[in-house]
Amino acid sequence: MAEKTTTLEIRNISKVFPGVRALNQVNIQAKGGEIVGLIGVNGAGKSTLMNILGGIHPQTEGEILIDGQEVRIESPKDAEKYGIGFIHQEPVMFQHMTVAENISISRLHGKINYRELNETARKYLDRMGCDINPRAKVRDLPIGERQMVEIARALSSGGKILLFDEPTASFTDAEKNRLFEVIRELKRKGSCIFFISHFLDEVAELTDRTIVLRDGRVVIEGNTAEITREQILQNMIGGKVAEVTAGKERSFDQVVMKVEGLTRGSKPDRVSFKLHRGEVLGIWGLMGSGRTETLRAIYGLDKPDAGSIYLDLEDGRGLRRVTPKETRELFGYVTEARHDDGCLLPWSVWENMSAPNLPSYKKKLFLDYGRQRQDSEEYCKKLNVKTASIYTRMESLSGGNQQKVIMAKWLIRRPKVFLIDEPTRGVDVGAKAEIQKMIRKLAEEGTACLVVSSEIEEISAVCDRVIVLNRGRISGELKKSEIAKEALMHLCV
Amino acid sequence: MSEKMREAAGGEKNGRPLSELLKNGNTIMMLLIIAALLILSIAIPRFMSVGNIFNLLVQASVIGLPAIGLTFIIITAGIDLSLPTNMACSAILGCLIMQKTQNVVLGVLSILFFAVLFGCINGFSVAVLKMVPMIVTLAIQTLNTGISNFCTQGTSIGGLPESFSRIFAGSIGGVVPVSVLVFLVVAVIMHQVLAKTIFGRQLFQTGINERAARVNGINTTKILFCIYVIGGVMAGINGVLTAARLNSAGPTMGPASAFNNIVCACVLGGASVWGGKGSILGTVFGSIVMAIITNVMNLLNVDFFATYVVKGLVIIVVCYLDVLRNRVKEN
Repeated sequence: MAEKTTTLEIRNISKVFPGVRALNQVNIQAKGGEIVGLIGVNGAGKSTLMNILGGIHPQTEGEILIDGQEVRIESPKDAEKYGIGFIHQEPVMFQHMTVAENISISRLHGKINYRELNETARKYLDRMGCDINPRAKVRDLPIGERQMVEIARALSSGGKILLFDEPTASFTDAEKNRLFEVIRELKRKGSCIFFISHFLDEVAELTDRTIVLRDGRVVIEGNTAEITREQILQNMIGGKVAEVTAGKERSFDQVVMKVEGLTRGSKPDRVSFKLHRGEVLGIWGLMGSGRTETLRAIYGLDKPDAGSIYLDLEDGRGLRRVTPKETRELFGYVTEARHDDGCLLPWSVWENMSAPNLPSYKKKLFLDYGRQRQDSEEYCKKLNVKTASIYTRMESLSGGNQQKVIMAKWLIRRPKVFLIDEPTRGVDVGAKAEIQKMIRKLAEEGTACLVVSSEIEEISAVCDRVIVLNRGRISGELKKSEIAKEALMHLCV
Repeated sequence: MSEKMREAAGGEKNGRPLSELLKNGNTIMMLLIIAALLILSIAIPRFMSVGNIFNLLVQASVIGLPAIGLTFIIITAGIDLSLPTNMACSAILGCLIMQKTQNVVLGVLSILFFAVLFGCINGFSVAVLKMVPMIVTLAIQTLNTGISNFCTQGTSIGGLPESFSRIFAGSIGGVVPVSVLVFLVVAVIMHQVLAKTIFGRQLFQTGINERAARVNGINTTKILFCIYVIGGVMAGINGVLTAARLNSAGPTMGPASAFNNIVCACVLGGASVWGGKGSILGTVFGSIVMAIITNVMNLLNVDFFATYVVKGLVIIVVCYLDVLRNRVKEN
């Protein structure tokens, strides 16, 4: 290369968000012609670091040096000026414009010379070895090619330091290989590349150096060739792996629900398992592994492409295939995002509790309001919901109490299978323990529960068995005694 | 407002008098109507005559019937711009059949049939094809206007059987007009449906948060379809009564601009164009207020075109009221 190689130095960078220290004295050096892999679990600080470099948040302290010069990156515009290109996980593009227009988007003003525009696009796409037509509309491209356009955009605005934020999350294998070729090509041409991922095999395959982040610190750094998978894992999840509360093993014999080959796009992908009476089955996986999508498909909200749900309705006929309409009537489903689709905030506690159960309150043509309120009173007591009365509006309850009301609305219908997505997200410590105990108690009384949680402690506290999802597929199953951080991480990275 | 402050305020009653006051819009409206009636009865001597009061209520029913339909639709944050033109178009098509056959029953059923048919087209487009209500119903409005003018060539369909207007434009005991009675009966029934049935409760859930409603197992597609059909039924009933009163049917009986009165009645009655709120009682009051405004301008001999200026201003005020109400809730 004729140009001198770029260097990037990050010195003692810290970032404090209200209540959280997302990055703590991070030091990283990188130079042109190098691919650096950045790994860590959700919340380790990878994205925060990239957002600082990309000009999305300023750092709280520390400095960034590019080619030995200290720079202040205060906006994405600044980042572009210093040659930093950010390639997002989900390409952010103008769908209705052409590839060439998107590549030159930040320089589009006044009279546009389309021939020049297309030539520029061609030049950068060629440099990456891509044969995408610059005149094609972005919305007509598959996601892998959109990623290429995004890279070309970063290159065309002078990008020498390229940040890839989990670029392969929604890729097919072919698209992934294609992207890796392009990244290697860019490396040969002298770019300095950061590659963020939580897939160990990808980092091992592509990168020269590996940096592991945990709780906002660099915990291990070294040549990818010399660092072992075990070392990385240990460092990702923190020191020695502690055995979490084992609880006693219970045995189950009566299958309540059988899921067979459930598929919807790439998530879930051929998911099959059995759920027993009185069992709490956990579903674990990293963000984007398809946990919520799987629950939604089981509950019957999203129509699956393939697969079926079988249910034992205790009518002596054994397992029978059920329709989405039936599962929606028979199951309970606590959603992940309470405020988004979990409850009706302007409605009162009792209205929320009866909302999914209206058909059971029918009295001739009308609804039996007395019985609705009676049931609400009963379940408020049972679940220890702290509210002034059942007439209180949902939006004035605390997160924990809202969650209890949501649990109650499904318990009133005595669900055949109880699907619970993140049972204690955004809930205070006291309510958290209560809710976890409640799930255990339900199971002991015979309800089959399916629990999704990102917290390993929660999974090991409430679940009898765990299935691990990785990119929409079941990658393993663990018995209660085997549930441990290390085992789970092994299955999902 | 923080959680703690809310709890301090007692949680249940949020302790904000203004919001409570605005929430109880119906009480305010009733007081307003009474005040207006008192002032008007003094200011305009003819106003308080029995004839004029029933005349006013007939006008209220013309606004109120489609407004009841629109209330159901507006609760889902939808809109049906085709309500008045649907009424005219269905009445014209039905009256054509009645004129040819001289069969009142067949004629009335045809009017209802066409109105429901247009309602179904609206409902299918919005609920199943997921089209934008504003655009779909605007298209149907245009289509209605086209059919109406094509079938009548701009005039009106007359030569209807004498019994048609005798039955549907008559009055009970020579005092209470049939249309007023029908309006009241429909209002009572629809109030029960909205406030006390599974359908009504599911409709509100759909309006407040469609995703949450779907999680609650509600077939929101079915709900959305049904409300536009209800709109069609209301337009149809209105079409029968209006055609009977005019003893003819023409494009002018339901101009597109009549929609203004209808939406005003709903919003005055507490329905919000943002969805999730509305009541039949409120809409009935709203219709009466709109009828009073029209009636007073008639009695005062305000220029016909000037009334549009007034109504336009009323809409702006009423819509701002809606924004205000929602803002109070947000804080």
